[in-house]
Amino acid sequence: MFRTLTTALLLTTLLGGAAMAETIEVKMLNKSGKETMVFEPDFVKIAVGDTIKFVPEDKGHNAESIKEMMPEGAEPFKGKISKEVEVTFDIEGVYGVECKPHFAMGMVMTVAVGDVAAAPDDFLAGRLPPKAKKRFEEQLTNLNK
Amino acid sequence: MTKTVDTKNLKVNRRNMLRGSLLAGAAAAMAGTAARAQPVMPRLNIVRSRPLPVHTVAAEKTSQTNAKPADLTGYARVKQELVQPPFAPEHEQVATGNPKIIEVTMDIEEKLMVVDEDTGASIWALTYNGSVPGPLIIAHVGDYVELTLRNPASNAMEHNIDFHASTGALGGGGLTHVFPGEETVLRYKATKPGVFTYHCAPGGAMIPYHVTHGMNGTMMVLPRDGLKDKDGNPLTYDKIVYVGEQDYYLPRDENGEFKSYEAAGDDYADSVDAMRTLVPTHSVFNGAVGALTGEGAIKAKVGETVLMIHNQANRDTRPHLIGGHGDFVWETGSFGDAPQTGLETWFIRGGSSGAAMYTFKQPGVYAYVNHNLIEAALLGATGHFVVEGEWDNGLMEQVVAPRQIGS
Repeated sequence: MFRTLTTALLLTTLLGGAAMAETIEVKMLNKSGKETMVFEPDFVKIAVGDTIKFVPEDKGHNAESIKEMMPEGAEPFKGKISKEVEVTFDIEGVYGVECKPHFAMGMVMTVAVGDVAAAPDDFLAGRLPPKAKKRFEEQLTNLNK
Repeated sequence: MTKTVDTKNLKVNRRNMLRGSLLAGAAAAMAGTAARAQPVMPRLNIVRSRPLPVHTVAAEKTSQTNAKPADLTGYARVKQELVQPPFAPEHEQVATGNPKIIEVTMDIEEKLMVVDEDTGASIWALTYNGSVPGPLIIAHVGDYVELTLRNPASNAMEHNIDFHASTGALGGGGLTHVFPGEETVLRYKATKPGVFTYHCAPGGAMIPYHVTHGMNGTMMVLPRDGLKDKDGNPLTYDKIVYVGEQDYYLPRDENGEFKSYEAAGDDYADSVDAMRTLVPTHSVFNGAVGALTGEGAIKAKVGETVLMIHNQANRDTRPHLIGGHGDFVWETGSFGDAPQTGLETWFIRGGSSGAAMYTFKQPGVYAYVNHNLIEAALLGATGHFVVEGEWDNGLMEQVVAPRQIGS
């Protein structure tokens, strides 16, 4: 009995919170214009508690967090290949997101959560494929816009 | 940060399984479930399609930085020019002098290859040095191999290499991840004599994807004093024939036609589905149906001794030389074991190379096949030896040519 009540309470709290937050859709595509293997959009600015729904419009993609490209305390996430995944961002900061099979082909995106004006200095310090790094650099210029 | 589908408990489980403590993992998962007071069933579904936990070992580099440097005094450096299969690089059968550092370079090339000219089946192959299989590398026990692995910026994917002949760091796989535009150098000691598979292993489903797109080959480590029979008598060969058997899983469209793709990697999702069937659409020698027949047939002479090296990085196979034998066969590939003699067919386990030595006694065309004859005739696993020389009636003779019965 107690357990049921706790679960119900927990669910209500979660759902209540989610209802007020927004859900933004990001497409995972093989091609967009001249660019191949992309998240679209590849830069989003959201509020703390908002959710991103990653949609594999083309097969073979996933969305997952990149180690050391997320704020401290944030939990890593990993969507399955060709499957939709929703991720709620509860901690303010800048996040790098990759598609695992197409990371080397530069399939990455940046998520800015909350009121952040700049990425940490070491955001691009890890080992990145050249194409991914270039796209991250372009994405990060959106932070101050 | 929370995910709609919570896999936290399962992650705990998976990590523990990696460490080998299955029980601890199960306990952790159960404890987590109880504490959260949520139904178990939905989570069970998640387990099935989860990628295998075969991933990059990032820790390798850190553990290496504090290690003592290798003592390389007294080692001479030599360059080995790698050549395209079925040929072998220049080498000594019996090593002269002290152990050496053998420098080799492999350029990774992603290229469109025709698998079967009759059907037009093609694949964006992932290759070491542009060939399927990758080139044969040869060393002696005690030598070092120093590989420069280059991934040109023109490529799309991340690559690496796992040498079954080497020791540690996932066979070097953990130390050789290169993105397009990068190169890396790995040095390892050849400690075990034999023929060994090497292959690309970037992680998860990318491992079979790269291996079944051609990224595999053989590293041969000869005993310093050469090959021996079971009594210790030296065995020498006149030439090496290096065969890589490749199983391909090519995606088909709704009409059953093989699909074609614009660029390397575009077939990833379809390929994963095709690989899951475990049924190859092709099983070929040296990259394509018929690659070792016609112009590509292997030439030999009566009296010549040929060492046939057979690599299959992914799937079991059973080479057979039609009309000949395996005089001396190292089925498992280990030159540390005495060779078997006089075999009709030998078994190569998926994920290994094996070697068979034969001295040709009759001229003619010999078919070298995977003696699952469905694979040989329908999937492509056939090559030809064209042997010149004098026919020996003492071994075989057509006493009566085909004629009407009773005439």
